[in-house]
Amino acid sequence: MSAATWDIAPFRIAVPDAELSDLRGRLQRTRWPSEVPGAGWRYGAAPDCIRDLAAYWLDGFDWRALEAQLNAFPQYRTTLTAWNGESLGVHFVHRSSSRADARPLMIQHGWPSTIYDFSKIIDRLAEPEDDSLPAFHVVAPSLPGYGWSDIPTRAGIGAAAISDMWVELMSRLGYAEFLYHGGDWGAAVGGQLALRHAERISRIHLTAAALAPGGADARPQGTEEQRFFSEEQARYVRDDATHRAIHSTKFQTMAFPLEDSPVGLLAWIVDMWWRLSDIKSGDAMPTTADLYQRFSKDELVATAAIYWFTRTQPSAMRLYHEATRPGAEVEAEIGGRVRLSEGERADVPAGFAKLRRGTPMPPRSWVARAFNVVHWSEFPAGGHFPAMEEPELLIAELREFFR
Amino acid sequence: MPEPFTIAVPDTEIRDLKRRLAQTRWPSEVADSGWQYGANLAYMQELCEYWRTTYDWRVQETYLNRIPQFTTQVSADGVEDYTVHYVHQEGAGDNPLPLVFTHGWPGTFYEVTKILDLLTDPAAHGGDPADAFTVVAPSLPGYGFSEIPTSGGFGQKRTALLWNQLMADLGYERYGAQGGDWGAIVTAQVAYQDPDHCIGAQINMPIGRPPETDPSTWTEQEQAVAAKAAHWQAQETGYQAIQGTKPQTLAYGLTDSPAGLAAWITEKWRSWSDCDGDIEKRFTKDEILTNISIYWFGQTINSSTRYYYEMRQNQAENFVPGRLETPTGFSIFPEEIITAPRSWLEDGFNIQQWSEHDRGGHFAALEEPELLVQDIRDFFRPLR
Repeated sequence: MSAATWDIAPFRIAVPDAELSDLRGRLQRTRWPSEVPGAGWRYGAAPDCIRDLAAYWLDGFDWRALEAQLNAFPQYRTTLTAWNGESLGVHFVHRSSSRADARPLMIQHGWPSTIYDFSKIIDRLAEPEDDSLPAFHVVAPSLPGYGWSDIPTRAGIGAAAISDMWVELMSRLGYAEFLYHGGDWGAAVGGQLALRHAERISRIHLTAAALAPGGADARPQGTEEQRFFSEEQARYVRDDATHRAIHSTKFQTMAFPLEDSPVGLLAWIVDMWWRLSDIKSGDAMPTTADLYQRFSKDELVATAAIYWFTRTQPSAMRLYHEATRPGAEVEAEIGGRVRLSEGERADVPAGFAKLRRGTPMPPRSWVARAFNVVHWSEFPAGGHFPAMEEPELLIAELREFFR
Repeated sequence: MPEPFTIAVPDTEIRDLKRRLAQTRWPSEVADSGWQYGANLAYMQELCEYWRTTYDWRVQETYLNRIPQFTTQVSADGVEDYTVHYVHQEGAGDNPLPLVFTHGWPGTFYEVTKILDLLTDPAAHGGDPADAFTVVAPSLPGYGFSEIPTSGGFGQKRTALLWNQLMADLGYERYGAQGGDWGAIVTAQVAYQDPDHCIGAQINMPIGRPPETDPSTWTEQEQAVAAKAAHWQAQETGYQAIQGTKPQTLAYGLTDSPAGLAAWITEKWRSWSDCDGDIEKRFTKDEILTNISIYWFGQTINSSTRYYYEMRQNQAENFVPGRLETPTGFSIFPEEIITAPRSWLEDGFNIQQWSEHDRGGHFAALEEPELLVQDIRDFFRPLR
């Protein structure tokens, strides 16, 4: 292997001024849709919220401040070759700990998230408040097609392919064995790491069940599992997961409005933050005020701004297609699977945190038929974005599980 | 009282459209993926460039304004007062039969343009003068130049009640109904809700439920239809999932980006028509863009997609609740997106016509106007 392919180049985010002024012009010219007065969030992202956030994006939000905040983390890019032969530059934060006993920990975001999700926990995990707490060398990559990683030009880069790339990345960083945490697509990549690279992963922590038991093991057993699939999971699929239907099939059609319209992108992303975060109290539909209690406007705009400037929403959606291609097709290509064979289980010791809101987590009994579950906790607060919503809970959880 | 209606888009809107098109930020795409994942980048760039530099809205507007259009406020029982836009062209001869034609999504009243003269004046097009129709073609609620509903729950049943009342207001005591896509569902409701006045429903998108019998006992044709439906459900209904649950979320981008709107609609016109993958085998760029321009200038993409939400939230109200006893005719085109064998429709409809064609797709009135018109004439002739 030549030295060149191993190059790891320092990286700083630097969006050109021209892009900032182009965005300003687009936001100022926004052509707003009609609305049903008083409908709130019933038909989707509420006009009062999107108008308010768009105005904040234009006049309150400071991209350069966010850029500086992210650039305070040591970032790099290196080029990896995917299973299909495509070379892809990948972007990652690599925050080494000063502690001699620190262990490598990869943390992986999903959609609609970015490395920004982890900005509240990276330093704390690397340099804990006191020496009795475990310390980690934190590696936080941007998924291929997300953030400042390259956009694949060819099909075939799904969670299995990414897991192969990430073990190579960790090898380059000198980490033979590592710990892993992920939710959303980060959990999907984690499931593939556990399945395909068990020898490299010492422990894995997930906030979503990314592998399904196979054969008869997949069938819900007992009333708790049956209730979960017929109620919680069915409700989620029916009401809150409809983005998956378009992301996984005609994502390219969806790409045109989201790439051309910043408010279109903002609404598409904020809709999911509203839908999946822990802002619900009682049975009433959460309001814009509920959303603002959970996240600052800066936080809500930051993610949309990152997708906007990196032009990655089209490629981010593609991951849904890769993940829902028929299993046999992916298996034939690279051995990627999300459904195990009957009786099979991923052996890496796994910890799960069941979040209070967001994508529903099946009961432990069902998850344990696919994973070697050695730890199970239920968060008293927080939804789909635990690193943003409840950083203290997540930091404590990871320290405890990886101790 | 009906008021004559003329489309008149301000110059500033046309300039704004062209400026937006010139500033389009195009998405990346998978190399050599064609239309597999949705709208093709190269084609959308070509179409939008044509929209910006060659397409002449004023020419199309003049063409549309030659078609007699009106708006009127309709007050139907159980529906809020509502201002509807509609085409209204009198039929030739002594006794033309009134016909209410309902378009679908992502169409507009523009769908009626190629069948209008054939229906109203058959003698001028080689037909029998006795087959003349007076055509009423309303824009669906929230579509075209109809009012954008400001309250929720405005679905297909309410639409049908409005159409019943509109036809009564126009003085028509016996009339027929025709439509595909949403027009198919509304047409069935128009007939169901007004059996004393609506004498027949002619439909070009058959919606029927498979029987609850073991699929292995079905005929080969029934199994083929079921397989096509399963593929459709898995691969082609993402737009329904979004439009049925969060149309407002989708609307921000589609209202702000003409390229986005064009992609959202053009992909459907291509994949739902009988065009062998080449959309321009069926539609000219001018035709594609006039339909899209009606959505753009009317700012109706949000309210048009909300129609899916209203259906999804209240299917019991919006689908015909029982068997439709009014005589019904079906035109079947091979590239139709949702189809059903006749055997699955017998329970729900009093089928008096079943006409299968060897060409044409979802947009029958635009794709195969002569075939559709022949079916409409044949179906209503014995009912007149």
